[in-house]
Amino acid sequence: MKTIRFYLAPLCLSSLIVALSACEFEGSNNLQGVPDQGLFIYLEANRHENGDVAQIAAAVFKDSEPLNAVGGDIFKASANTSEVLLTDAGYYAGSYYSSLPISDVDQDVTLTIVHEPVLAREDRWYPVDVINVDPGPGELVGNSATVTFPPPVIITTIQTATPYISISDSINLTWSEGGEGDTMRIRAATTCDNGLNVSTYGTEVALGDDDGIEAITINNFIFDTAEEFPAITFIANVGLGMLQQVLNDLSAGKADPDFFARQLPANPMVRSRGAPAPSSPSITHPVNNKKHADRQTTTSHIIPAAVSLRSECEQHASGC
Amino acid sequence: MQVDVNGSITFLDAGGNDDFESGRAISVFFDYNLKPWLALDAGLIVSDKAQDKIRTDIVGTYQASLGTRMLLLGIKPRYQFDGPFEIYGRTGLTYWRTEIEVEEYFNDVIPGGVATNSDKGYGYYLNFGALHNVTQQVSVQIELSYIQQLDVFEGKSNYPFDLTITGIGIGIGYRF
Repeated sequence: MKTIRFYLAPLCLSSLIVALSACEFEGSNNLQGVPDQGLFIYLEANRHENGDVAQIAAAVFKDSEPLNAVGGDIFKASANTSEVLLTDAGYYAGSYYSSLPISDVDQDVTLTIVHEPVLAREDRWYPVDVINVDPGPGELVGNSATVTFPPPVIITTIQTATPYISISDSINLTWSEGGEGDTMRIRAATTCDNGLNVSTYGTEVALGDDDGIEAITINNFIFDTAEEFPAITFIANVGLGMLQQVLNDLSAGKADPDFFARQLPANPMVRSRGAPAPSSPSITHPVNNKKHADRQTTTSHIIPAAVSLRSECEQHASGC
Repeated sequence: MQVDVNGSITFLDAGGNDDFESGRAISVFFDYNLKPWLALDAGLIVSDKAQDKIRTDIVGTYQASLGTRMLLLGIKPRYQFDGPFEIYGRTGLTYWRTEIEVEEYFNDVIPGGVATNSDKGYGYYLNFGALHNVTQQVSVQIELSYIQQLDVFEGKSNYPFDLTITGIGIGIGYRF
């Protein structure tokens, strides 16, 4: 019998792509935060730094229920020098999206509900300008909302190539706060190499207020393999077993055992049964890059009465 | 001289994201023999309204339908085999009148409606058929047709299109 040994290198190198973001509006459910009474527009503009387009998404609600803009009523997003109709229906009822060409001088994006009976039908095959059932402008036409991109988030302190040797270590992160009232998130892309395999995954951590400083422990980015994750371990083992059986069946039992040894994930997501856990992961943080990669703003706007603005900014600093 | 009457199943393609159901058409051709193998061909085709699929987009739920009438003028070469069989073709120009009707609905609050418009223009046709002479005067035939209507709504709309009509029909012919 051939003995197969599994090794996980005690040194786990990881590079992080750090992102700071702020948001107090959760857009994954378009009913969250929507008032029970009145008209409400949800508008989100997402722009990567130095990008020439912004992704615009919007929805309108009346008495907390999403409204479809029909009959030629349609959202129009505009910046200083460009405008676009939101002609694509979003995943959620009453939501629409499109891409808006934008430049560095554009700080604001304005959303207006307009009546465009021809342009709204442009995707149809027949001549919509001479054959058009136009019911005229609906009740939503004329309402508008404006969002302003927040100031860029600049990471001010994180040491280049700083080694971290314990999963309990903290990254002391500071940045130039500027979005008062914003809540911040940090996103990380982690690559872990155990010498046999490489795992890449992402994590996101809520930081709270945009106060410019946060100490974030490493275990927010690298899972502690000393901890047990029964569900993940179970699924991983079942999956590996199924793969092994399939390969054995296909090869008439001649599958190279070493092949299965190499199926060990580099972790830190899972630890194979019997495999030693890396006891002291070490992280080398990437070069501090103060340039902004992403920039995003989210604004909700109650019309025509009270107005509330929410903004989200997002920044990636990357390097290695 | 000969008169042909055909009933056809037609297939329309407006070149965009249209998806018509098959339609029906009836055609009448009058042929004046210039030579034993060549005739002057004149015809009339009338189709019923072929319906596009019911669709829903960000504006509303709608269905378009298209009907057309065509006058045709061209030539009809033919080849007579030994025996009762014959093959022939038709080709020439067509003058058409095409009408599009769109029925659209929005929601329970906004009333829907119907809009219609039509256009006229020119195109061409190219048919191919085979016939069996039942008697010296009467024949039965099967015919494939390809008709192109060019620039439909050109000059009236910013969204003109070319309409392609293909079809297969059967009919009878009468020589006199």
